[in-house]
Amino acid sequence: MEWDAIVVGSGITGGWAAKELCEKGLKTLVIERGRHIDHGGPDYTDMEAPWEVEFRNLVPEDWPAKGWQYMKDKGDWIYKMQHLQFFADTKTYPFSYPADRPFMWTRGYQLGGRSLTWYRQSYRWGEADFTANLRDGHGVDWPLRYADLAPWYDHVERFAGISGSLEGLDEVPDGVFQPPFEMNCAERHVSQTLKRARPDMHMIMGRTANLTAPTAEQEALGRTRCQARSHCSRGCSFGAYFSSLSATLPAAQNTGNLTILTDQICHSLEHDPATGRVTGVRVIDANSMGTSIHRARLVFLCASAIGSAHILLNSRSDAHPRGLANGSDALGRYLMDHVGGAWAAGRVPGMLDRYEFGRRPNNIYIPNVRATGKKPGDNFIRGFGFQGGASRGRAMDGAGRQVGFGAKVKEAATSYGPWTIRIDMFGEMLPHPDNRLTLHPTQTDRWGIPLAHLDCTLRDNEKAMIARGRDEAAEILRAGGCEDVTAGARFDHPVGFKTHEMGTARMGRDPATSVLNAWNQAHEVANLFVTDGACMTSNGTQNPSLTYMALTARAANHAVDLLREGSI
Amino acid sequence: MNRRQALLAAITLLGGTVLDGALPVWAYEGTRVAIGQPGRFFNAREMALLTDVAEIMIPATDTPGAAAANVPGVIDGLMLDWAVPATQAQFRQALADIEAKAAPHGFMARPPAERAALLTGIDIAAFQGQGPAEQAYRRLKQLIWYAYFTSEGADPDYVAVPGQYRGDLTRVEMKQLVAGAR
Repeated sequence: MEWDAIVVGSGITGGWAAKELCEKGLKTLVIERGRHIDHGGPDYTDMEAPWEVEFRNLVPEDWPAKGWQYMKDKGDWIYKMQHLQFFADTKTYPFSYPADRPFMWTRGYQLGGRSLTWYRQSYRWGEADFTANLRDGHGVDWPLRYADLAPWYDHVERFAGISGSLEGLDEVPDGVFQPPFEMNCAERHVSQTLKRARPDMHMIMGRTANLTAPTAEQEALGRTRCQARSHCSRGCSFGAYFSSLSATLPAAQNTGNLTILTDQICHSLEHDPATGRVTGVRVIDANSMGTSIHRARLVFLCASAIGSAHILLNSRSDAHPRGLANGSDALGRYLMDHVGGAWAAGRVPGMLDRYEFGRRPNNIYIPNVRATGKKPGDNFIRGFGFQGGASRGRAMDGAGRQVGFGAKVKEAATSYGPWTIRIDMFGEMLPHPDNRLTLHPTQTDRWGIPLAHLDCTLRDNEKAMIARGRDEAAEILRAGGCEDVTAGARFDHPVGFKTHEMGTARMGRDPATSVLNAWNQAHEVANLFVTDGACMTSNGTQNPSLTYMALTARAANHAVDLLREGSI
Repeated sequence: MNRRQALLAAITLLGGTVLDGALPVWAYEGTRVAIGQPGRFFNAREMALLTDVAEIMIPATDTPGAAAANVPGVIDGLMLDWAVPATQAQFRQALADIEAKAAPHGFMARPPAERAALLTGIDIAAFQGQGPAEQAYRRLKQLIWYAYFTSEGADPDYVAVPGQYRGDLTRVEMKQLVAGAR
């Protein structure tokens, strides 16, 4: 049979594409390379108490050698048994990189993809983010502006459910928000002190895709208010955070137009040189290794920035020898991730009679501190912001790393220390043609698909930004009234460390220098759309998922219009 | 007063000093660590020693002690499910080192107060040195505390489903919310 549309991938953008296309009446097939997962099913570990999590949440010591070293490198905060079922190991799913330029590619191969484990921070881009390339000449100009996307931000925020505060900041425009989470007293103190000392900087409550006041539409999908457990990455049986499994796929399912196939690895797209159209999606069954082809009038690639570009590169033909829709040679290039590694921490004095309750799945946010342009002494372009939070730490098991034991040490371990705060940098990376994904010339995975080869590195601009980010993080905390401030910087985090890969099939005005047009439609293949991080022309400082959602919904509705007009 | 304490008192009264191993083995009867069941990984003597060491480190107070929290059982399980062979050997050696610290009769033959004092000495030394024995002890200690604080009842403020986040409460308000959410 021929489907109206095929969506490759079921993560944040695949889920959105499926929902929009199905709701517009298209018979839609979603192809997911990973296994099937039921929302609230046995893969969800959110109901397990700390003493019930397998191996007390410790990852067995021989697992790094079994493909989990990258997760260990990512850090203790994420290297836990509680959610490893939602991540891919590099033994089963290898990729390659030059020995001296490692890349960290964090994947989630299951229905719902990385929408199960995303950090849920949801920020609109500001107008200045869409004009950044135009202003300084790095990368090509975005073929759209904030005003083009604003109504689609409204659309996706309303459905996904974003909690946040109205701030009136151009760099992170306000949206359709549910009530914000509460700042704790220490964060409020730092935010207010900072506001007086540095009116050019803002510390606001993070905007997160966790429901604080669910709408009737969300409740009808079985979603309920966030319970402040901070177990999101284990899956949320309350459906309180937005994921494909809690929100978009059920909505798509409700139309009766959705079909999902799991364990189907997309090998490449079939292209008809006579019509210039994509005609089908070639897949390999992950288990049986059997191959098949699914045909459709419309194809949406939503397989992640690297995944989608990888599929296009592997869809080589006589008509498209460098990969499908790659006349520009931009495909696979300009790979970006957010720049991290810089941080500062300090003590917030006082308030020792104040306490927190609940585990807030959210942080505070300091939007782009270069939103108004360069500052004196800057030896880099673009900007950076920070995310972090304050809390009263308890030693807990950390007492076991110190000398001493006994009843007094035990009691002290559960007593609350002073308020401390930490902020971490999120900086903008420049699009560079040599930060690049290619197909490995000889090595293939177990399904015979050439490995993704990722050759990316931080360059002078990013390194200068990290150094400045460290100093500025400390300045911000001091200006916010913090004491005992310390700061640090790492220049050796691999690209991919922030899991915000973007740019490998960028949008642009000119088919000679970009892969996609202003509607995420391939310049060279009218019925092919790419709406995940691959489409990003620059990478801003904001967490990108909300923008992917808005771009996807916009593209899907446009594609349906084109289909109805008969122009694709 | 048990037999050994009586003997010690008598010796002290006579102006004597007690040296390691100065007393015959029978003097320690009734106060030594009782040997129980073997674990899945550790043998019965190792399990008994691990239980004793963990409970000295984390005694029962208004929250459970390490033994009641099943810390030894958890660590025994982790040795099979989590540890690589080098770690298994290291933990075994850490226990053997503790036992050997009180030659000739061994750590487990000593009465509770002496065991606590011995372990205190081992603990202080372990955080001063960097040798394999010190490292082994520190890893054992770290895992004991980790197993404890991931156990039920260890954190008096743990709530599975808080239901809400509040960031500016008095201690009384916080404790009331904890009690109400349990």
